[in-house]
Amino acid sequence: MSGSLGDLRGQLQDLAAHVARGLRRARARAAAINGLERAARHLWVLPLLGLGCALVGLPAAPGLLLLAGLGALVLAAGVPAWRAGARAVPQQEALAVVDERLALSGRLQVAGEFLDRARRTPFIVAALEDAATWVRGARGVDLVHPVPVLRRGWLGRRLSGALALYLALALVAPGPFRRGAEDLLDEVQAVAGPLLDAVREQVAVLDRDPIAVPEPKAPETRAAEAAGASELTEDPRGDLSEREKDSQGSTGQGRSAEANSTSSDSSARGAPSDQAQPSQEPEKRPKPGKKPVAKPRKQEPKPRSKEPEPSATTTGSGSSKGSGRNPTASEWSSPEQAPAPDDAEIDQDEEVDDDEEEQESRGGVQPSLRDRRPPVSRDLRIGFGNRPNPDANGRGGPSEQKKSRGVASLVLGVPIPDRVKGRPGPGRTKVTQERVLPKAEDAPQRPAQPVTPRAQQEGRLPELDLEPWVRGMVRDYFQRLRQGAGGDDPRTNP
Amino acid sequence: MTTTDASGAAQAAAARFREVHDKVKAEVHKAIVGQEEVIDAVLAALFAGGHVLLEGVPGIGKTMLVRAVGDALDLSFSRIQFTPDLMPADVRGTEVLVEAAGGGRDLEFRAGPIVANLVLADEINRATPKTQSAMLEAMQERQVTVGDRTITLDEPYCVMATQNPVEQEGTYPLPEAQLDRFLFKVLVGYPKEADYARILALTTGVEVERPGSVSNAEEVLELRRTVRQVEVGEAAQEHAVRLVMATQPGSPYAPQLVEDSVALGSSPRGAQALILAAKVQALRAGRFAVAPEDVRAVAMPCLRHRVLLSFQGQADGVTADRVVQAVLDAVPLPGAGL
Repeated sequence: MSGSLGDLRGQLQDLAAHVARGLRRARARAAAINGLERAARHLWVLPLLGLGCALVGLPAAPGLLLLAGLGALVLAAGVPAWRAGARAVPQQEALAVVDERLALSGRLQVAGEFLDRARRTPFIVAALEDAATWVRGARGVDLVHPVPVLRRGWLGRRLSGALALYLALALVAPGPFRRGAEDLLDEVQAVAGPLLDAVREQVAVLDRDPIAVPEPKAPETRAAEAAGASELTEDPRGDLSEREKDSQGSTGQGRSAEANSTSSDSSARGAPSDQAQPSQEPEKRPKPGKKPVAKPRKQEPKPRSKEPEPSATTTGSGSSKGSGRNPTASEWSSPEQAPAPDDAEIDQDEEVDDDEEEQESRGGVQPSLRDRRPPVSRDLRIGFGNRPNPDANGRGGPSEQKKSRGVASLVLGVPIPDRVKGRPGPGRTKVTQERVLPKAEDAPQRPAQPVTPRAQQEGRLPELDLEPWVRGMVRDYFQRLRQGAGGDDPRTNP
Repeated sequence: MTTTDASGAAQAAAARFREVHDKVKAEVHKAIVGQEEVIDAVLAALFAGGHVLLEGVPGIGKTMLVRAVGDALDLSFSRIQFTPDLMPADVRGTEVLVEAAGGGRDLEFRAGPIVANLVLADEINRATPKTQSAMLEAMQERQVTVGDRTITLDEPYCVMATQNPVEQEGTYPLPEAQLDRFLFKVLVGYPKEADYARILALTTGVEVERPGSVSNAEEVLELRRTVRQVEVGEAAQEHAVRLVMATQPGSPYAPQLVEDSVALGSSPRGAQALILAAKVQALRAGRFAVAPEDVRAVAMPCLRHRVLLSFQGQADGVTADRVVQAVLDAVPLPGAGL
């Protein structure tokens, strides 16, 4: 068995070494492709670098730039590939890859680990034997490691983009850089052949007719031109989508009403200048009698009359806070917010005179002496007969209302009048009085007896306390039943 | 013992495990149609020595499944229907006053339904936390303490609790400490369309086939020992540890979803559960050592109830299953890729 396990060790090592070689190659290739793509993403830097060099007077020959670009690509691809290829692949890692690719559920990796263990349990031995049956099959399989595919089309677009940027810069750049561009064209033509003839012709055409050269424009300029074009257009709805494409700026300036209606709230807030645009395009302003598509803003007051008044929004001179009229103020003071009569009644009920509150309402000013009143009486009586207590006016004082609600209502000695408002019921109430004399009830007293625990068993329970005639009837029944065995049946002849 | 004998013993034990496992599963299938994953999880928890929490809507056979397992294994079975007024003494048992032989009176302990091999805690989240916590000692320490008396529970001991994910009014969600005691949390779903015909035939006919006893407590204990003997490689162990750590916010393996939505990750008890359940999984697959893929196969039922979502996670509608899936995606298998 140890011999077979020794073979297993050798087989695993061979397999791991073979897989490790393939893995290193695959990893190196993957690293090269990744590095190449990373470098290609930044190729646009080279023309700008050349432009910068030309502006400061440094040599910016096209050959030099081409050499720098190629060198960067080679370095970006080669260094990671070399590093990935030089990295050693441990045996366990290689075996794990084999397990994963061949769906061996970690058998080989576990076997490689268990072979080095000094103590081998029965399950370790069984696992090694199990792995030995699988490793032979695994050695015969040539693993193909997945490698990312080089996106040639994407890379070509990046290269041609950098080249186009270089040419565009050369057309607007100073002389040396331009001459350098022409030199680059010559060099590229020598390399690429007649494919660049068309490019050269295009450059020549552009040189002859400089007006046709579209200069790069700032977004603001484009937006202004688009706005002017929209003004010149007779039908404002004609070809709306194209105008939207041209007129939409980063802040949403120049958007049409439809475009604004679909924009988010934040984008709408970010364009305060479009408040003045409805005056230029009155047909796009929401009609007063119709619900507008876009939600009107808070600072836009609804037109109250037919004569338009200059508002803050139309003049663009501030928000609703700064305007002379606040349209929301009238809504707050609308009759709907007025207190209901019931509430007013409740307030009247709750109203009490309080010197301290009066002082607070005066802003802390010292009250005049004529307002001085004697301290509140703490007398709990509601009134004197039918007359209410004149001192029942304090916070803790015996107001009638409070006496019927608070702790005073719990004091039995205080007469509490019924404070429920409203009529108790329709019709008259008839009160009849009857004078009844008290009667003495017959309640004999039972003599007290000491209750002690039971000393012994209670014994047989007494019979039911039957009436004498019932007892006699039952006795007669059983006597007749015994005497007349087989004779008269007492059940049928009682 | 030579290596051949040792290997033969291990192979025989593993074969015995598979044989008993398959027989018990076949008997359970006499009462339960379909639900393969659920039955596998329940049997895995039983053979791994853990407890299982079954969650599913009413009427999908949770209680019947546990009862069928009890019938197939010939274990003492008790059922506790958890209600809000259930008291700990109703679960653990209590001391009652009895007449002594000499004429006096004595306190005698009457064991509660928790003292059995297989305990079905039906709708466990309907009882108060006080009563739920009465299960803690039994589930973890395999003993019950009442007054000054401590009773060691007979092995195999397994608590299979059910709870209903709907009708949460008036329920008491299980505390984390008790959730952690369950090896698995298994979601019982609706049966498949093909299973309905057999379910109806089984349950609406005259004769209802009941599972027979194909094993016993001693055999279950023997199989538990076999499970414990399964070896674990470093890769599998490392994978389990990384999975558990990935559920913990702030760990280097935690994905962004965990950082954003998890308040509390799994404890080391989660790693123990992963390894134990993976051992059962390896034995079922006919292997003698745990592979990382075994750990991944049991990660969802082992970890879903050990992840406590944060308020933000709950507000975002993140579920524990989604978090565990994100963890599985973030921690790759050893050997995957280049």
